[in-house]
Amino acid sequence: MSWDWRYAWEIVPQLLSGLRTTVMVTALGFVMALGVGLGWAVVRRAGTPWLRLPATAFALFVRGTPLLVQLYFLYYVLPGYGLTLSALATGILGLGLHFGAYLSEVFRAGIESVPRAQWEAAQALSYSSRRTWAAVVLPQTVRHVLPGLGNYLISMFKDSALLSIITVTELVSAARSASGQTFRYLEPVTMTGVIFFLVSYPTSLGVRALQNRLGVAT
Amino acid sequence: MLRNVTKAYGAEIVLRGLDLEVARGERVAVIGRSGSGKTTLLRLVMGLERPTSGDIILGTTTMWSELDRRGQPSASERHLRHVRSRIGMVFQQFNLFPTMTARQNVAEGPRHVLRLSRAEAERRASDLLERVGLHQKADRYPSELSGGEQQRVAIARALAMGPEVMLFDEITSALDPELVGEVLDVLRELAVDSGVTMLIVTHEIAFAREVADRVVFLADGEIAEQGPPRRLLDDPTDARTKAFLNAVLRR
Repeated sequence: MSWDWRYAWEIVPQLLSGLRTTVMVTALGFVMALGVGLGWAVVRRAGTPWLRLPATAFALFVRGTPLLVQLYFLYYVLPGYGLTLSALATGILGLGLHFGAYLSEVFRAGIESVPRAQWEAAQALSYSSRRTWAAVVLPQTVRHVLPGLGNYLISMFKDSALLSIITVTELVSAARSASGQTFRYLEPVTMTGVIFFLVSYPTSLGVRALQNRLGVAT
Repeated sequence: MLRNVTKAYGAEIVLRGLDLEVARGERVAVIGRSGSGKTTLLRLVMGLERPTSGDIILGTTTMWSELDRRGQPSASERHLRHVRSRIGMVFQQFNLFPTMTARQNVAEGPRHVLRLSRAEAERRASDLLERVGLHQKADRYPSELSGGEQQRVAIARALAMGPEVMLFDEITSALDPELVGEVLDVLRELAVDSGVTMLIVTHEIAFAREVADRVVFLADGEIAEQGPPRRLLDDPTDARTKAFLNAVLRR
């Protein structure tokens, strides 16, 4: 089987439309993961035991089960209990929760990297706890967590391919439907891989550049 | 004022039944070997640590209790914040916030705790930075300042909250020798032209003699001896004070 440039060219629009969904899902999923992860980390540090324990247990559970199973559960099991979401919403929710559990670890480490003396300085100035978090702790956390966040962003971008199994028409589904019509796999699959790489590599460079910029600003 | 204050970490007793009364406007220097409980004393007064037993009373307010005597419910976070807001502390390691400029470090408290307008908070910050001789470096980050400069910002930051009592925890110990002078100068000026009560933990005996109204010598978690600087430093009666002063002054 040899590479067919014409066919490759023909399926580009289809793949790009898939890529658009992949990027959208990743972006929304990541925003959600940031919120979930940060909230989780703060609760685990500052919440009452009644909040802390379930949060820790749930995060542990989410990290200990495959994303694939979680997606199946959200998409095929929950509707049986009356909770039906669109495939797209399920995908975003699944990615957000799954990666939120990982990001909470990243944030937790970042929060712990802030020296005790900084908390005490804020205490001695009688900052409220909200102000301590907002003005003192989180700004110092950001720089620390950036590399970790960048890596998870790229992982999430790649893992969003799993959403194809719950019928989200992202990049991999687009490639599959293209090959399903023609029974040619070489071009769609190769191009899909290349497209993933063409997005993830510059992203990782961007993350590193951002890191350096913030590093200098200290 | 501390009444019969004890602080223990597990089996290790750091302060044992300490009584110390400081008058409004008084400047008290606390000296003693490392490990004698000096820093713990300040941390207790600041409310960063809770005494194992005993009371810490600021004016008529007891720090860890809502009411003013024993047997009361534990203090709320709000009560503690209120008591702490009347006290300022300067740390050995400065503890400036690295993500804020000098001015932001000083203005943050007035702005968000005292709820001044942004303009007022910044003006107060600028005035205080000028007072510690750093108005030209107001927009630098802590990492761009020398240790002495950082410590002066930290003093300005604590003063910006308008405390009745200022606590200084070995504020020159982390500095290179040539930077000690500039920080002590600021402190000296403060002692002269503000009525603020000062509790100064220090190794600078000469400075204690010059600035303090009273010197307290702490040993083994107790006050071994206290009195006017000249009396205590030139003519100590306690054997431990003598040994300590000999060791320090011989350097």
